[in-house]
Amino acid sequence: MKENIKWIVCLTVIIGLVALPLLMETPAFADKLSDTIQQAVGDGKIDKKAEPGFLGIPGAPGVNYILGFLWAIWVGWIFSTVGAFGGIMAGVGHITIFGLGDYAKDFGKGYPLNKLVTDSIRVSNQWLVGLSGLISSTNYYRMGRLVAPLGICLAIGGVGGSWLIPDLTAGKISLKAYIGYFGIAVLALGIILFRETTAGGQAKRKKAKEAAAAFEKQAKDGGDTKKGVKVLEGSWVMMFVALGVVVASALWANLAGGARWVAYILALAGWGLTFFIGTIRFTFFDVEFKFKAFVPMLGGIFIAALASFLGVGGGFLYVPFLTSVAGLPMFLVAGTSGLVVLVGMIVSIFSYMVGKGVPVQWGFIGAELLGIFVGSMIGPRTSKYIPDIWLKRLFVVLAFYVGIRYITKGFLGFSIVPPF
Amino acid sequence: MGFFAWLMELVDAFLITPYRWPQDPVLGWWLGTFILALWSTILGEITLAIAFRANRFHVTKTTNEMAEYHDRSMNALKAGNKGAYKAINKLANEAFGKTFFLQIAMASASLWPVACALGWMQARFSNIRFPLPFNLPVLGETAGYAFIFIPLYILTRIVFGKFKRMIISKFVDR
Repeated sequence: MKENIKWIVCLTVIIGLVALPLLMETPAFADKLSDTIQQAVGDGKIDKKAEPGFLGIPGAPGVNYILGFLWAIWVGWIFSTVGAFGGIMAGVGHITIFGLGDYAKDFGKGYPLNKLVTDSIRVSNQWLVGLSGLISSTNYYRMGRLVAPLGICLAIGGVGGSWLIPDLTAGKISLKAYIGYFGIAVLALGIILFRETTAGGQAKRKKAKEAAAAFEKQAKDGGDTKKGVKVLEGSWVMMFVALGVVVASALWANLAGGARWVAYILALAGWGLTFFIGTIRFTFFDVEFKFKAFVPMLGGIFIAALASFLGVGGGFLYVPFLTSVAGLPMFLVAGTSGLVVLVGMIVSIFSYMVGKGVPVQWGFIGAELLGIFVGSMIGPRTSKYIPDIWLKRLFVVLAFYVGIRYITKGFLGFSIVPPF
Repeated sequence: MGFFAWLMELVDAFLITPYRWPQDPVLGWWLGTFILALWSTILGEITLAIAFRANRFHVTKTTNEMAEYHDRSMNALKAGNKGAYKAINKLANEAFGKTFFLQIAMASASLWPVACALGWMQARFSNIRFPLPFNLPVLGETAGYAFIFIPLYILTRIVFGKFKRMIISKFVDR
């Protein structure tokens, strides 16, 4: 019963945060967009009579739904064969393939229409990622594989980080700089993938497989995947107070309008309270795990800030954080990171759409989801013909190409790899 | 007119028709939006069923691989072999990554109609504000199309799910 109440509180907070941006989307959308268009018309940057394109902006590149659909098939194929790189590829589509990047850049650094299109690209990425987080965390919640205190501590850091960073950077970062930072993230992923394909990486993998084989018998003897998480120690009250305070900071920042210092103080207070939660202990499969509450909180701040800034989910950062730093088994990492990605994305989408009035083109997201679905049907049928190592090598080359291109384009103003 | 434009026009005519059935525009709005939510639910359910059916073998295989590595990593941990635990856990993570993203991609099968419906509503109703019977904090006395559509979709989805389970259980009983 007590556990149910905790979940009801958590879900209420999450649903509240999900529902509000959706409810508020239209007025903010109409006001901000029309104001920005009016300003651009007044400055002679766009022709009012030109054919409306992306977001209905006169003269903007027309949104090619078929191209979006085809690109999303590629994204879906990657999702269903190699995994995480799909989110990056969705971002590449939004920036380059659909021609939105060059269009926004034409307005010059700091121009409102440039900022609006940049933020819209980010939010479009976040919608795709947020939906995936919603689905996975629901599934893992049903399976009883969520470590609620860990998710809450990560979310305490994440909620603050994911509103503070959009707050500090939205409208202040031009698409050019955004592309550069996005490039750094892609290159970092490329380097991680590359390490896995080297002789050293392969040898490590072989060793791990041998170790797995050694424990096979015991798995057959004693494998019981029904044993769930049992929390032994942890201050629930303090955890919920801290979470409530950071959620309040996000709400204040987005809805109050004035006195932003209150939101900053609330976020800092929430983070400060986490230090009083102390150590959390839980068992899973009769094995005890423990962690200091402030460790995931600090990790959450850093990861959500980065993820929100780049418009990606951060799942690719939560998973290594939870396995390497927190040393958790995979089943717990999966569900918990899904929950944190969801909370982080909700707050970030909320911050952009409600706080900043950033619009998205719904139909386009629909075409992309359809494409991802088609791609996910093709992936499993083709992956058996391509060995894993070659798939990884393919994405290493892609990650290096995309990363170098975006970094040089973003920070130098030109690409050192073709097309220049 | 291109094929795409023709298709869009056809879809638009199809979706707007229920909105015009009742004489009263408010009633028409509610009916049309409810039918739109119903279409989104049905279409999503159909494509999701196709995705699961088509990928069943692959999903089972990757899920088993994931569970197997997980069991072994826990055994290693119980045996006090931290090094082996970490190494096997990494393999389990990799297997999980594959399953996770495959399922995410497949889940888009159920949600694409929602985004498309919102896209259609954005084109049709983005400049219209709908009066609310009460004044809500933050929102005020009016709301946008998403305010009506999203809760209606969730409601339709829940009711549809209950009906589906009821029909399936009856069918299985026989």
